[in-house]
Amino acid sequence: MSSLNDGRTLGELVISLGGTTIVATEVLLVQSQLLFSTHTEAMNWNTRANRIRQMDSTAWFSWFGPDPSPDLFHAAVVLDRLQHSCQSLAQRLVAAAERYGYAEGVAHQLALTHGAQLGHNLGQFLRSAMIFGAGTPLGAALPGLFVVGLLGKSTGGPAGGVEIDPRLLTNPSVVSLVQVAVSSLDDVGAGLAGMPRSVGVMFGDEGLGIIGVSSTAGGLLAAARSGGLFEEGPVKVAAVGAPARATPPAGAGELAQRIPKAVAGRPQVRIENYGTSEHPSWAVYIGGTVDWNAVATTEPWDLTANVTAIAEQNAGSFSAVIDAMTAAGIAPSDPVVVAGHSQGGLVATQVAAYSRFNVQAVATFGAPESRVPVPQGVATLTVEHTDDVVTALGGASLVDSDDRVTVRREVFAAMAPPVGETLPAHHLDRYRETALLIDASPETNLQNFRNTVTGVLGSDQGEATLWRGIRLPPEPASQ
Amino acid sequence: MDGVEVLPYGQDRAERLAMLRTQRNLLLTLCAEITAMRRRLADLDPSESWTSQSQRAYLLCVTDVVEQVDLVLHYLNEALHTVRMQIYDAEILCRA
Repeated sequence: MSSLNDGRTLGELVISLGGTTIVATEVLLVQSQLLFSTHTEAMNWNTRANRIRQMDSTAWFSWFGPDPSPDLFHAAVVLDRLQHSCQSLAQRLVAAAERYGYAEGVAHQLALTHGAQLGHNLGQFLRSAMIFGAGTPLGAALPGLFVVGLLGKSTGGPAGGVEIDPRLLTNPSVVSLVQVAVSSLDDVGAGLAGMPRSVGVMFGDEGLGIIGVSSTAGGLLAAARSGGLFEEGPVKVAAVGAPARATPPAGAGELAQRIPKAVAGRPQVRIENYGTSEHPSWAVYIGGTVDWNAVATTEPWDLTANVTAIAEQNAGSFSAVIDAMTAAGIAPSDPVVVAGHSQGGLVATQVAAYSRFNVQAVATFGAPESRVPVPQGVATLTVEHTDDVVTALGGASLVDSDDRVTVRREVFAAMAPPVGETLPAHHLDRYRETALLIDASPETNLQNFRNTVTGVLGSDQGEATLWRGIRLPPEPASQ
Repeated sequence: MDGVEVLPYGQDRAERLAMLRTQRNLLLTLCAEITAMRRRLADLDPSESWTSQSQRAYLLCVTDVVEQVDLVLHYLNEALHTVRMQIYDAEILCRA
């Protein structure tokens, strides 16, 4: 369906609906919804036209005078035809979107399978090189070079070894490749460990999901921590400044607007309180990664927390958010809306999955995909830029939920990325632009998400408080 | 005459005039709603970015839908015109 490709070229919103294979541009979905709506309306108009015709009980007697009945009868006949035309056309549009989504899903699955095979072969090659080259300096250095290469690239700093062209990282094809590569890391490990491919298939992402991106991240953490990297520690949180007046967010635009920007030393969490003291409701906004260094510092929103969160372990940023929510007075039964950018989105998903709070809606902007299952009934809006490589760092999306709407957009489809800006498509400001486009859309699923947010938070003024978390030095091991 | 002239089919002129006015108002509301939907349907044309054969076929279908709506509006306007003429006649007869 080239309409979808055209839409992507123009940087339009592309929407995937959870629980279905529907993938379509926002324009296409709006068209199908309008046609379905016209179908329903045509039935209603038909009934009304017939009722108007039947009002004049004298029509049968006025053979020679003016009579509206024949025209009303013909209008009803055409309305009957209209309702069928609209229904058929809308159904064909939805079917096209389903077929496109199915084809895209199959292609994605094939890419993952081949990526996994390639990863396993690479792992086997490394293993063979280690076994046969054990006596040589190259054989001894190879695994170390591989791990150093991975870590070096992940830090992304100037000391990280390989300098990557920023334009390359805003290429959607590269982002897709990175996603497949990250998803295949567990297969590299399986090949390296000498595990047969069939075992990897059975226990990996494509099978039972016991080993996958999270277990790879867990392995990376274990290896790195022995070298003093990615050391998590306890956190403490405190409110920053006095509470300020706030109005409830009306949609994705205002949710994204209120997420704290990732700035060192600044608050990472904003919590808003609405409703009454008997029936309070809350909005929690979580910022993105502040510190990209692999050595953990006092900043809990760092690379350590990113990898820890992907490993589905207790990240410092997650603990800080939970502590801030508890300190703010959010009770387990209070309805909560959570929004986050980047790492904040990953944490937002974890907060929703955490049974301690009654999360009703989650909006994530540029968050790495994760296997964390958001509970059923929680309205989930996932916003991803197809040219944002950070969204690929969690591997392929494997969580399907009826309540999840994924909106994708290529930010730099029609213009060149700005020079000198690292990962421009990942920038919170770009996600804020996309969120405004989402709010401007009449698409039903996007409207439903907005309705959920406004339904939870109401329209009365509330209070906003900023919170800052700090990582404390690791506790000494007990004797 | 008691001011109420009973027509051959058991309805007095005032009742008939009220019925015709109700019929006219309902038709006006119906026409307005369908016209509003027609406007939205006419805005569906995404031809600037749609080029493939299947998309052109889709556009033809949308055009057909809009034509059907136009036909419905034509019949309803004709019916409205007739009802207005009936109201005019009924008002003259009521005044006479």
